[in-house]
Amino acid sequence: MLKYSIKRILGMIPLLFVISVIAFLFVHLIPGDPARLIAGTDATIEEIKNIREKYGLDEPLYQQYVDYMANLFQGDLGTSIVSARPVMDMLAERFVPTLSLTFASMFWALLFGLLIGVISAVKRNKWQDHLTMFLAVSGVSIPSFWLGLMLIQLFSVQLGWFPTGGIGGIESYILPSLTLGAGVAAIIARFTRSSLMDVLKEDYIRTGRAKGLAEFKVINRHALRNAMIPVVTMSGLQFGFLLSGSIITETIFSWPGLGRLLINSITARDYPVIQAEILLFSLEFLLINLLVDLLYGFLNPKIRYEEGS
Amino acid sequence: MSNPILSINQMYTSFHVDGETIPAVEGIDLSLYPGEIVGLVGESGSGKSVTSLSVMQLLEGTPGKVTGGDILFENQNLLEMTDREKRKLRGNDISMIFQEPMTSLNPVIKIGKQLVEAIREHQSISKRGAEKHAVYMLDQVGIPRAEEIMKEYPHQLSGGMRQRVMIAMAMSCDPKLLIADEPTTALDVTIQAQILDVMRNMRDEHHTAILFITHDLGVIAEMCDRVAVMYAGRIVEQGTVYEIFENPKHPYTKGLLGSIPKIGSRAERLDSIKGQVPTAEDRPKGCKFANRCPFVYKHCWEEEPPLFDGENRCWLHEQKGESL
Repeated sequence: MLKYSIKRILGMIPLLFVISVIAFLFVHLIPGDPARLIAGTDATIEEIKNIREKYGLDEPLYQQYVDYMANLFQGDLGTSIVSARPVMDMLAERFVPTLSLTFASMFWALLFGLLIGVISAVKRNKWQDHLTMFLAVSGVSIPSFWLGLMLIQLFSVQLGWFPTGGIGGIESYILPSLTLGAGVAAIIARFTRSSLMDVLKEDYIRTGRAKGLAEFKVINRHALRNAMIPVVTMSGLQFGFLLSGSIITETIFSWPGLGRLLINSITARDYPVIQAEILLFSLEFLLINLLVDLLYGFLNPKIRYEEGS
Repeated sequence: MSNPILSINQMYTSFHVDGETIPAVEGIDLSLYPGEIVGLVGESGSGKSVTSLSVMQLLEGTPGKVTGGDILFENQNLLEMTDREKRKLRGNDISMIFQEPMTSLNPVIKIGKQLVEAIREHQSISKRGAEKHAVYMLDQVGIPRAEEIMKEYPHQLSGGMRQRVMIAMAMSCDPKLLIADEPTTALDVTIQAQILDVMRNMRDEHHTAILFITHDLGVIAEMCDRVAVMYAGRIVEQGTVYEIFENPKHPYTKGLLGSIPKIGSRAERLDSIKGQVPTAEDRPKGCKFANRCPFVYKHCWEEEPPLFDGENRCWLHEQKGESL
């Protein structure tokens, strides 16, 4: 498994290289001139020209790319045009809040998603199923800006239990993680339900019952692990999305994460920051995919990663 | 003869689909005595598997339900038992082998663990002891390198091996009754013969009663002491294997036997029974076989024949025996 993982990680390098080209081109194709934005509306042409020279923006595109890649290989992500700080520092400082919020959100999402999914599959077409699936449909359909604002209104403004925003102690995580986790919980619930319902029709479930096992044991020992295989893929994907930072939730709760940094950098045409974020998100997805594949092998012995495979 | 281990009396099973009730089994009587192998034959759709699932009480989770009659296991009515009491019997005193060896084992759990689970569910025995017993059982059903197989996953075994594992699992608690629902249908002929041997040995050594469900008359002739022929949810004829094969009375049984190819026969076409088993909604009003029967006459369409002499359901035999 270690050999397989190393192979996969080495395989990511060319992929990241391609992504860097696309990210670079994509970012430079966004209309708008960062030098003009930084200089302000009443700047002279001379001032704008100076800024362009300072950041190398006056050079031809290929030259800019070569410089960018040369720095990248030395571990230098460049300097922000807006704040003049190293991009690496900015990402590092934004990454931790997003990562911790992602974990908190995935905790809720998995807890509620799996619970609701299992209940509704086991109590198929009974009132429990209808109630939980109503919740799940609501979770998918309610926009997070509305849910976030409603939670703030109720729990922060009216009841005063949690802060309205910002990052602090554990209490500051509750509302943003619930807001962010609700949609993911709903998706996981629906996946778990349909997957478990399929598994419950399998012959080996009947074998379990024929052994005289109680229904709880049949589901717990024989159905769940098989049903988890598609759920793991989907949860991994959702985890990746959350790790890229949620622009809406971070904005509502003034959360100092990657999502807000991204939207601010795009508005300011802060090229080095946008490029670095794209690279980071790609790397995150690649690593999560690897993790999901390894988990697959753990869940399903048929696809264990043996040497050479 | 001793008391029957299983006695099915006037059992009705039907399926409720979209507000409609579809009868699958309509009033069957069948008994099994300890150490006896009874064959249940019939075409697809005759109600054989539904009968076996009814006895196992495995219809939960399907739209099917036993709606009438009794199923007595050692004189206790399975239909009046609580779930807990039924679970105590299932896998312990009554076990079942299914038609689908490829899919009946859990693909993500090692063989050993699946066997140990079946043993420890019903016996207070240490894990080590259960493992030992599991290896012994695998050995009994002719699995080579049983110790290693314990650590393997189902996908590493062939269909025949998996079916042996299923038999080992079903026999692991030394059941009094084994229900085998087409256990060899999915296997090739040589493997089939080996599996049948294993089951016969089990009967000889443990005195297990076996209800053997199949549509393969060759297997019935080889395995069974008695045979019950099912058609359209009813038993239309029953008797010893010798009686049924030598002197079939019901035209359906005759038709089934006639459709077996014979060595030395010069016929270019196999005989077959015309038509198909009618679906539950299309069953004729009188004798259910009337629309396919070569000997059909007026009375057959009007009234359903009872079981004459407790043996066969055909008006042609009314004169010989007395109606029960």
